[in-house]
Amino acid sequence: MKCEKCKKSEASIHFTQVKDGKVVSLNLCPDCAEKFGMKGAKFDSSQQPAFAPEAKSDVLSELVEGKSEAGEEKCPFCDNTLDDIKRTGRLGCGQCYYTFEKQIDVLLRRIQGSSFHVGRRSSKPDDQIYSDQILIRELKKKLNEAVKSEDYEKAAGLRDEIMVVEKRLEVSK
Amino acid sequence: MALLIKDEVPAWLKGSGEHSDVVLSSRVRLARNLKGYQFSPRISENQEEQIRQEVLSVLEREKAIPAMIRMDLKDLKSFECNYLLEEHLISNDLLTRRKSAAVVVGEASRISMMINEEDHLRIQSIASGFDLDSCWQEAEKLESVIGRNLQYEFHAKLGYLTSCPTNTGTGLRASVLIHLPGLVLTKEIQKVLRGITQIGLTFRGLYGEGSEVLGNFFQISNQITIGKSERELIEHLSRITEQIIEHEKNARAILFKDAGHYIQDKVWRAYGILEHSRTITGEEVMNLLSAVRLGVSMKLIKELSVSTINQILIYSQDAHLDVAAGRNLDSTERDIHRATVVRSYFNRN
Repeated sequence: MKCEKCKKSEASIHFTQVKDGKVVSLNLCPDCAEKFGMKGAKFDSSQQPAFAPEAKSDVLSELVEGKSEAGEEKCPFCDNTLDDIKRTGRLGCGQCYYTFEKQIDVLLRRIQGSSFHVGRRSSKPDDQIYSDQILIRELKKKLNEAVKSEDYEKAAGLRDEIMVVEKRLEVSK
Repeated sequence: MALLIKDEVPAWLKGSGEHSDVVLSSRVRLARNLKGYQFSPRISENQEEQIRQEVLSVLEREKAIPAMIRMDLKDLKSFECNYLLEEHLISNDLLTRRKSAAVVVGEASRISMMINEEDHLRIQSIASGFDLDSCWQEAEKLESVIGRNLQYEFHAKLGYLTSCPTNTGTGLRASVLIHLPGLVLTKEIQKVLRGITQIGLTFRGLYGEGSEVLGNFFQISNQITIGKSERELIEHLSRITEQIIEHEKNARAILFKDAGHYIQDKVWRAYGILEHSRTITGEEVMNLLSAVRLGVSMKLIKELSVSTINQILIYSQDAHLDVAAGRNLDSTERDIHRATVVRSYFNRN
């Protein structure tokens, strides 16, 4: 398995954390693990279980939220960075949701328990079918990735979301 | 401004609708942003002006709001803005954007919309008593009219996009303004409030976020805006509100059974002070009205109606007194004016 951070070296540190009742796991190479505060990871990795008491407590959320790297990325429409969003608690424009999609997805699931809208849709039906078709393609791609990485909990969630969108497309035909 | 004041009593103060002795009003608001414009922390004044013009021209063309009154906040005095705040027609947030903010209000304040708030549009429908369904229908109607003419920021998966991620998805905040003196007096209220925060709801004081709980009035609303449909969110809030109403009614029955004399004394003393005071603070009015409202609801007091109590609650507030006087009163004058206004409602009978 490749390291989820640098995506180059082999991952040999398997880190698991229970946060807000959810199990989050992360697989890192020793170099990346040490960068994120897991002292000694580089040397004792073979003996260490998936447990790193010295690690910064929110190391996972930092990685998931992309605080360390994506902070510099700018939204092409409003120039907002992820740091701006964190500072103000506000998005700069609609495009920010696409630019920082991954991080916002995680944030929404954390603060609202979901990142999947099931309510009222845009009142323009033509836009609707178009965006649902794109959505279903994206969800199917993510489902394949989740199955490949054996994240079955995520896969099950994605499968449910795909069913909702398929049903919606069926009705709108 | 003058138009609004001469207008009839806002519909939500009429004390009609289901359970109006416990639930003062129901409200639904929808947050929407227009495609192609930045959100409020980033938006320029030019863009805000464009939004204002685009939206107003749609409203006029489509005649979307019958008997619509439009107010630009920059044209209003600060106490006039506060008046709108006290009527729940604008938010504190809108007050910080007076340069470019506007509000449009329909007949009897049943439907209204803030323009250039934290989100470009905040559509609001408010009704007397416990009636979230009709609020949703009204808000949805206006949302549709605008949506047919202008494009909202909408994401296929995330739904309606808002400035703050706590509104993303449906952009819906449904709330009930509920009077819970029974649960406060029996000290059950903390348990109830703790309970609702564990099931996706939240509570605030009379004037929304950060406002103090006065006179045992609580605003209960949905916390979550995504992952459930608007109907589901409203049904959930309705179901829980029904349970709270039942708890409140049980608490009142217990109070009257176990401490009847004490409650009657509290109610009638409050009545006496409001009927005869010559100078009174807003906070005192609020607390005494809470006791009198309980008395009216328990049919101890037959001289006043729920509607009258609701009106005193709003018309005795600072900015309402200022607007009636046509100027910014100082606090001593205001308390004297307040006592006069309150007394006038008692002497009508």
